[in-house]
Amino acid sequence: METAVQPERSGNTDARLVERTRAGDVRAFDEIVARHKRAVYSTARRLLGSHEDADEAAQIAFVRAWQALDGFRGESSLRTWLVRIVLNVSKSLRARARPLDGLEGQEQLADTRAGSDELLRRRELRARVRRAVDRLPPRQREVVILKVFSEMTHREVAEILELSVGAVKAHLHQAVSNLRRRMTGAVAGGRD
Amino acid sequence: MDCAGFERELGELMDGGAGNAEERDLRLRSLRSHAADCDACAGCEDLLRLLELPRGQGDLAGDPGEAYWGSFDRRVRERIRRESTRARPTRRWWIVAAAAAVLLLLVGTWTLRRDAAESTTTASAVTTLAVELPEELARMVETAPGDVLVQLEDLAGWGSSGDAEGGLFPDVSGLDGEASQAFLLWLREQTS
Repeated sequence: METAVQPERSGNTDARLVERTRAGDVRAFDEIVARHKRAVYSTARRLLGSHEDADEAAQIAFVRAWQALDGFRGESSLRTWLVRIVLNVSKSLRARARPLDGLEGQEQLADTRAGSDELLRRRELRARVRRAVDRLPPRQREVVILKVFSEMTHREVAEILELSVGAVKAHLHQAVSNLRRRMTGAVAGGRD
Repeated sequence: MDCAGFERELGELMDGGAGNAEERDLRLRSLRSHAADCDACAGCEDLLRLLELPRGQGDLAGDPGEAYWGSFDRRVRERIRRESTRARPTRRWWIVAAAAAVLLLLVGTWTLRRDAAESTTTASAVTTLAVELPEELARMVETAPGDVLVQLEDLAGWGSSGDAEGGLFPDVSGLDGEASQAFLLWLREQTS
């Protein structure tokens, strides 16, 4: 499984992999992990900030997916279902974790290694935006992370958050308004 | 552009509704121009700069690198094995339900047989006790409530008569002291 399975090479659809896993084919689940691990990890990372927390959330999410695969009815895509799981896991981890401490350390370490001023500026830029996004109410934060930074469709976000498409758009609208106010407030009070 | 227009256009941009890449660049420039001249929107410059970055570079989730991805699948597999020593829950739940029903039936049958065997043992004890401890038993029977006497008769197969002269204590061979003591204890409990 260390060599990533390319979906286009394997010839298996997600639905086929799910069926094979249900039938007891462990390798089929390996392929599911290989296909979706980046989406699952990235969602957790955007939500949690630190690499360690995101890694933990992604691992737990795949274990839960494996345990609950019989409950997957295929009404949404497998990716959407997995992202919903990791979102819930991340929320649980976030509830008992410290806010955002890990992000600075992680990115600082990476940028020090890179030794690039440009990378450092990007890191600071991401950190400032992340802090602003992180202060949004939970629903708005989730919508921004899934819609804007995970580039999902309204429908996908609605399925993951179990909202209507209209509600997703409303949350995003409110989030933009809040972000504008909060980020301006941060500037007025000195950039943190 | 006023602040309301800025907020509306920023929302559309974040919502992915800015059209093609060229239109998106134009809109970003327009928004940055407003932010540069407006104190109320100046804080959004960071967000605009992040949105301006090429895809991937503006993502809030950093890439942990290939070494991480190389071990991810294996760690998921090990975690599943560790946390799920039992087999993955199967959709064939009815097999489990049927097995439970059969087990219940076996336990029930065994319990009924055991109770019947215990009754036989008690009945045997009644008859043997009559020889081993006739005086004590006779005294206890005399003071026992009526319903206990009925139970005694049923257990020992004495019939409906409680008359000692009618053969209440039949003469049997093969006395079992342990069984007799057990019966005495039971009788004391019933008559206390």
